[in-house]
Amino acid sequence: MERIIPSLLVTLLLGGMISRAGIGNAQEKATGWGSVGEQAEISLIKKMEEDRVQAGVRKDVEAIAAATADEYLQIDFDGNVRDKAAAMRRIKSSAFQLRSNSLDEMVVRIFGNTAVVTARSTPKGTLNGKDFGQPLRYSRVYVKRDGRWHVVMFQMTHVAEDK
Amino acid sequence: MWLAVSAILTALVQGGVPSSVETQQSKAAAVVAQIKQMEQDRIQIGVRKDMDALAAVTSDDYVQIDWVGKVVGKAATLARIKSSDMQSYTLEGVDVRLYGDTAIVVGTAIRKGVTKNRDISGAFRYTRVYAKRNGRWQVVHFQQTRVTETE
Repeated sequence: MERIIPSLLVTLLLGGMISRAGIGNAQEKATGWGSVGEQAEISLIKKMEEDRVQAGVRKDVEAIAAATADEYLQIDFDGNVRDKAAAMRRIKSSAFQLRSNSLDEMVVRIFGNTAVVTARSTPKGTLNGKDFGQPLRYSRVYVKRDGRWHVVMFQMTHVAEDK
Repeated sequence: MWLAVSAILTALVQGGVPSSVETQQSKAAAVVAQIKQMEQDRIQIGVRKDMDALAAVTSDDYVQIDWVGKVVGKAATLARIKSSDMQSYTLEGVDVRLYGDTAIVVGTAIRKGVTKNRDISGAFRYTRVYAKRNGRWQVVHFQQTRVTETE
């Protein structure tokens, strides 16, 4: 009897663990991307966003260029359209000085091999000697190629009202 | 006889039958044309306030960042369009890029009109993202920025 009870407990515990694992796997298969894998991708992209804005403050153009697709397009807060080369030149330019840039309200949505990020950004710095610090809302679109995420599109709009 | 058959087969394989690359390119071109048409249709159904048609090509998880940086969902976007009074609305420079089952559209919207007594006339650069789900393209994301072109 003394041997039967621990054995029964072990069986019940193991049985429960195995069946829970089975349910988890089945749910993951049923939802495909929608579970653990997608959460990992979302975390990775959020980290890439933070790294990208910090690289912008440091003017680390190489790091930004490496995570930017060659066909990249940007629409800035004045509606100017820039390609990758022009966007990199702007970051490098002495006329554009970014002291800090903080992000909040970040949401990442994944559609297959594409991810759409929306967030609020508060950049502080100077452009042509004039201070700027007005918050922006932006969209950044990533595409996964050869196992790596690259930014293909970026658009920003000044936040005029936050209601 | 065999030479003639062989020559016909060679001609068919080399010139008459499209390669898989050509087939893929023509399929991509057809999808780009379809999305461009959907862009024009979307503007027209918005102007005539065909809310059912607009809702059908807009995903339930749709998000818009509007021209004042406000985040607006599907229901609020449709309500805004329903209450708007648009005199004209045209698109310029529409460019579509395909990434598998996602399409990114960039363009400029020129419009004249009001919504909730606010003038929303002007030129706006926009990005619209489509995703293909269950065989249908739907808009999942949109952002617009007023063009002041400082450069």
